[in-house]
Amino acid sequence: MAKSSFVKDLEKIKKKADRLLKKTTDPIRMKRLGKLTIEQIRKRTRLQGKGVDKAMGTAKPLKKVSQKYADWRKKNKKKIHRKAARGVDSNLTLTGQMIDSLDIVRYHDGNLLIGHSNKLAEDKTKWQKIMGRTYMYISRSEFKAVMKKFDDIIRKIVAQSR
Amino acid sequence: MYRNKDKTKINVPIPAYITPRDKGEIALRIIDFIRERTREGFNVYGRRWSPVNPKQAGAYTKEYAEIKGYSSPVDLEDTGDMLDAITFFVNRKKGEVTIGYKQGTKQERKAEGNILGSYGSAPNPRKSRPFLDILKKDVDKICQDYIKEVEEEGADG
Repeated sequence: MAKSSFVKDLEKIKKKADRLLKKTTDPIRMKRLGKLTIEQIRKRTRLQGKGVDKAMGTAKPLKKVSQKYADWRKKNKKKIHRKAARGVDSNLTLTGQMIDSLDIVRYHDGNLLIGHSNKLAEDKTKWQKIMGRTYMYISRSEFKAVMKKFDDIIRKIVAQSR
Repeated sequence: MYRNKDKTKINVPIPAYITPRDKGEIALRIIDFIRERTREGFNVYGRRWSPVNPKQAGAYTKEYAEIKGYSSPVDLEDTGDMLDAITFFVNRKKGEVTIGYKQGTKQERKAEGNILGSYGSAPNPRKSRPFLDILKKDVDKICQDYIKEVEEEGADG
């Protein structure tokens, strides 16, 4: 029996959806999503001096550093990263290595793990967490922004490859 | 390759072996490269904006340096929004991708100010920082690295 046009249409839609899903979840696209997330964390921490203490939480200014540390940082201005915070503000940037080392540690089966590319940076992050400065999560608004960017990218890539 | 000194949207020639399917990812990688290079404080040739003089492109003005905390290197990053806003446009022509800024946006005007050296007044080539550009050898490297990665991953996106 010949297939009805409705069934044919459904099959076409399914094929298209499968192709689109394949395009969005292949490793290169997923790594792109990871990069966007890392960029968002870097920008918020280093440029805005804000942290997020839980997944989908709210970005809040990072806990201030002690006056003693601020004085030491001011004295050693030439040796530290040019984007390090000034005064008693914190943006978790001294040499810049901790935030620079954020990377996609593992990608497996559609799951991305973001972490540090070296042990020292990982230890520094753990220490900062103990000190009350948590930054390795993304807030709800950041999540939405990253997903919007990713969505735009995928749409353009699909339009480009047609 | 033509050097961009006035545009906020450019067509970048890419090797012919890049298929339409891969053009989007190549465009994104070119954008990443330009962002990264600019953030490091380098121009299209991988050198510092020169000459290093607050009245010219190599250093920020004294007033701006006080707010920013340093006068050089010039990294064109304050909030990060301008570099973040570089995007790619669908271009069906074979052998090129289009990258740049959406017309009429605030970020486009900021970029234009830097590219022309106008900053709200008349264009000044001595103050211009034409960051929206890439050398052919860099494009070739990006494309080769991508192809290698695709072969390793076996991706078929």
